[in-house]
Amino acid sequence: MKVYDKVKWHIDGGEDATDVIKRFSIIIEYLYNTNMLNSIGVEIYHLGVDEETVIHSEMLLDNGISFMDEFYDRIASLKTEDIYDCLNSNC
Amino acid sequence: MSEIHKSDVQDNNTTKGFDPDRRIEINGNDIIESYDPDRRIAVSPTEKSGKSFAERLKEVEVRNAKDKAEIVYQNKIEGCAREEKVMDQLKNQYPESQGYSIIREAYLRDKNGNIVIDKETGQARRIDFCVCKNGVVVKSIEVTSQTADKTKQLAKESRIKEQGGVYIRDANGNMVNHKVQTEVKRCD
Repeated sequence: MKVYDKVKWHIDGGEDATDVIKRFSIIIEYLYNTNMLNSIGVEIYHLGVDEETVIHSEMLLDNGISFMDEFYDRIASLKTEDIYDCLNSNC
Repeated sequence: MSEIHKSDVQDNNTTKGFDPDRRIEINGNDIIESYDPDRRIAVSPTEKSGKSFAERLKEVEVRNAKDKAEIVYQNKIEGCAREEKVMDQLKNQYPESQGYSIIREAYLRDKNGNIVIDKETGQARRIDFCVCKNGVVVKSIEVTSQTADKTKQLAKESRIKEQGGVYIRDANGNMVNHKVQTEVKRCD
């Protein structure tokens, strides 16, 4: 299993919890809408994003793993509003 | 400096030696107290937050981060490094050759495999590492930093278990009994 990111790493690291959750929500919503989540990922999607949320390889289909491997580190470093714009084709 | 010059200048425009024991006072409207080395500065209520200096410093650093992306990336890297370190330790302590398996990121579920939601918070409970043997979780680990408070998560876990969330699902989809207390493992 490859763990891409966890909400708790950022909240425990002092980042604003609301912003962290918003960021993860945008990303997971994108993965869901573009059919990159497998059944485990869809189950996690329906739980909603909270402090327990993790994005890992075993919740993704192959296209999702490829996407995350290639882009996630770059996406994760963007401002929240820029993440939304990029994933929704406005950048 | 001007006061020393005014009071101590001699005819030849040289100053007398500096007197370290003299306390400087400004007359008029700008009167200030003399320095008192025995005076203790009272701690303001905001400083009695119960947080350690390291925690307060980290909060200030995050607020003042010139580049928020650095903080975000750093937290991700540090979190990942902590967990990979623990994974390596667990693999050594609980080898596959002795019948152990390590399940990561498992949600607490009921006997039917449904994720159990805590009635108080509306949240599920996911555990970082579960070490399993013979169909049972023998060790349950939550990895965190040196300073993060995990009291709420552990309390939520207790409530979820009371609601029947005493299983996790293994890689084969089988339900594994999880009744052990989750330990908090703190790493740098």
